[in-house]
Amino acid sequence: MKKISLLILLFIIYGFGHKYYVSTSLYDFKEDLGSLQITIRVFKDDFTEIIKKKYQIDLSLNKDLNSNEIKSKISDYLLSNLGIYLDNNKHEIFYLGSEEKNEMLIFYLELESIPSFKSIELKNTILFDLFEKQQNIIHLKKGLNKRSFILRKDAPNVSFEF
Amino acid sequence: MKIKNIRLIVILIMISFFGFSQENSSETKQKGHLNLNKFRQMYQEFSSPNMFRTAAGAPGPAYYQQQADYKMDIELDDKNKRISGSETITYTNNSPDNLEYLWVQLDQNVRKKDSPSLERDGSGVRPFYPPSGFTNEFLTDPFDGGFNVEYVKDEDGKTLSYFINQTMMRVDLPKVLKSGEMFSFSMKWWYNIQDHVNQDGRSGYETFESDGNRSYIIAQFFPRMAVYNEIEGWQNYQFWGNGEFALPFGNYEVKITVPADHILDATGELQNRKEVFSKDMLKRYNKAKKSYDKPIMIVTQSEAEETEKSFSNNKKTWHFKAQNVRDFAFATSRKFIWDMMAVKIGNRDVMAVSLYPKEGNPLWEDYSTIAVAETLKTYSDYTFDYPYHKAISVHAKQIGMEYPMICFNFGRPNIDGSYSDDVKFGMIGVIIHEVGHNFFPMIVNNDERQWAWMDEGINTFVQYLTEQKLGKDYPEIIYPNENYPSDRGPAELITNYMSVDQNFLAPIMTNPENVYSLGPNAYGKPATALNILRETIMGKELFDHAFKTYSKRWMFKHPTPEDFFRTMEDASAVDLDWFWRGWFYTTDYVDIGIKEVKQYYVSPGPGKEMRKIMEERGIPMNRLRPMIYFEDFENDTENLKDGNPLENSKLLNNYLNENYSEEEISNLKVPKYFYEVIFDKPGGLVMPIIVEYEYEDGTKEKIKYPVQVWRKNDNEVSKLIKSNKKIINITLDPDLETADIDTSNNSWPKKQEDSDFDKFKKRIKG
Repeated sequence: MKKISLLILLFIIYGFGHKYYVSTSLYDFKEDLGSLQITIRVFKDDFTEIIKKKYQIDLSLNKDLNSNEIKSKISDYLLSNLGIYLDNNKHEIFYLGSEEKNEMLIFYLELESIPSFKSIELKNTILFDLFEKQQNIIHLKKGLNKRSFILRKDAPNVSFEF
Repeated sequence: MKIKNIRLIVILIMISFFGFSQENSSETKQKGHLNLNKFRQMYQEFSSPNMFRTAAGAPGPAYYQQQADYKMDIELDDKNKRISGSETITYTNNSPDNLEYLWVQLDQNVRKKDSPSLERDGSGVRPFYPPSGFTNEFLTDPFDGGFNVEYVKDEDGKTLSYFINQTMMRVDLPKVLKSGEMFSFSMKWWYNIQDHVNQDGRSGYETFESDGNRSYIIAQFFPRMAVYNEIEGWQNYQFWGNGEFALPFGNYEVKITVPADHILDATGELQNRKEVFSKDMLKRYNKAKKSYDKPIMIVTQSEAEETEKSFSNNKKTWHFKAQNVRDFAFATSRKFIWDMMAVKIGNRDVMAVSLYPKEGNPLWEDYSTIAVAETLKTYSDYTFDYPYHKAISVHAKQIGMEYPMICFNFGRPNIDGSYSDDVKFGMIGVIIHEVGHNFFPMIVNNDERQWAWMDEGINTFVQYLTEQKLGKDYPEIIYPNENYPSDRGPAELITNYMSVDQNFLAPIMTNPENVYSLGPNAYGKPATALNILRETIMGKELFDHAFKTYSKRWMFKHPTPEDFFRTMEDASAVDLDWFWRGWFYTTDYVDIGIKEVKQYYVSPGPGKEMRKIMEERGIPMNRLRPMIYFEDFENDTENLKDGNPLENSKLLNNYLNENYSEEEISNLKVPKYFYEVIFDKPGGLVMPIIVEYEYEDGTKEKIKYPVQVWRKNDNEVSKLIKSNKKIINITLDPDLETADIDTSNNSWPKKQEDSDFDKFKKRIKG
């Protein structure tokens, strides 16, 4: 199957001197595995700021993002800002870990053992508590269906029907 | 020729026509089409060449450009954060047209309380607000920005009629300004400077709570002429915030009055150095002019820290003159530390200068001026010798912006002086980028309001080349990286952007106001396209020569995208229309794959395919002239496929024996392996097919099929490979040069690639 990457990497605009406050999340439903694989990309300095504010931990000083202490704080933050409802049932999300690439942090999360669904509702309020202008771009892949949406502070939920 | 053969040929020709029309009997009639071939020349997209701009991409015999000269007196009121000024503009009409009115740009008006640009994006009611947000939005008055124009007068002091439309002001000329004539007029104005950290903007002030001082980066501070040319007439597209600037060249003389304890630098040559420099500063300055390997401090950090406390009530005036510049900007603060270094460019010396408050250290004293110098040298190598006498890098929080000879750059360490690699490389990258802008668009002066990519994309490309050079020249700065960690330039870094949902994509040739992701669209994608042109399509020698030709042709002039496109082709004899159209005018992406690989052997008799053709056309075996036949491995029923051509074909043996000597025959290389590789192209862009064949003995061979292989079939192309050695792997684009967004179809045999998600999961589960 073709690997189509649906993620937008938005860069700091040098000529404008204005940073875009954006994250991108890919929700990829793997029917054969019965799991929903979630990949979230955020700007490292933005995320470092919110973790510093909430947990008094400075991610830029800690090299291992997947050490127990840091992993639990990141998991705490992400899980309290994400919500997934399949056919109106809330599902628990598991945080697998994160890695760093260029100026971005990439988070990997998963929903396991889920049946196919007709409707999905996604809530994603990551970094809304830090920036008014934060926009969270959502890409959902279910089989051949691709849906995209932008979530903002005043509208942090979206539903898709299949 | 034997009669038997002529008859056969005639029969074959007749049968082929008959056979063809028989195959084509379908009910639906096909529709005709235009020339959609991807290699068609861009006659329809480009304007017709004319006397102003030639078909070769150079200024034509009738090329003209206007000139706008400014004499200005400016005062910065530090306590009230206000700029007031008066200017005399002398406008020379070098066009063949007679002008009834002039347009003057009032960019500060984008911040007027009633500016429509405040409302140009969507918004909604939020169910909750933090107290600062609520206060800013509902309780406080909006910022009182924008120019307050006190007068517009002609050179005799008579008031001129004018009309302000948002950020554009029309001056109605009392009499027509004829071709070749000059017109002088003066204006007086003031405006409130905004806090660029908490409000938007490319200029403004930052307040430092710790010492109560401000640093100012001032630009777009004066009413200035719009461009008039034969492409747009007056370029009076409004300033909405994203599309930057279109400006004519001219000579400036500017006097700036600031508090006496401020350190100031600006576009142009300082005329009254002895009045504004202390004796110590003068001594150090003279030393800096001879210092080619390290910066000399003109104002040290401890001196700046002392000045931070002085809050002088006296004033000083700094006097500058600049020739042949398109704009003017300055930076001033009593917090500034100042260092300078001399750089040899051609047979001249250019000063590399940095201005920064202590908050920029230790990063700024270590790297800023070095980055400026490296940029001047590298860009000069690729284009032309930097013609101005200095280039300044000013430290400013969260800003990256360019003006002639001076630019504002971000990069601030933590309060304790520590900084991450991200901050360090971010700063060096932005300094290279902004100083590089001196070349594009300050000197090669394109219309940024309409085509952001033309300076941003071209500049980002040369920025990448400079970053890589800096990494080679200063390995200690990039250690432990082997190469500078550029985030734009290499083909594989653009594939994420190019594979995004098409609803979010616009072609590069789109007005910057209407583009969703301006960064990748105007900076990343064109920079990558030029890099691919240089590394893969044209090669470095042809590219560098054409690029230098373009830069020199349009130095101190106003090029359009077509002038660039035409010049690159004209100076290299590499047809590039397919490339410009694909990369710049569409949102197509690259995806080339190996569809199928078939193996063939020489068989003694006609193979399955041949027999099918014979049956369809009623050709019996005995009518067939002896030929050497190929058969697909899949159809081998007699286990002949492992034999080589000499073994399987008696005919070939006989032919060789009849026509070649024994010695010659023994010297012939007889290939045993015949492969038909079928490439397909799910992506819209055409690119050369770069293939690496790996043989059984471990050797590899890389072949590049020219992009023209796609000219007759845009979907599929086959290549017959003959070889003495068995091929075990075929890899497309092994060095990731083509920005192929999907490499899962780039291998034969097909490689099962893990997604990023699977790779990560495997890694953490151990």
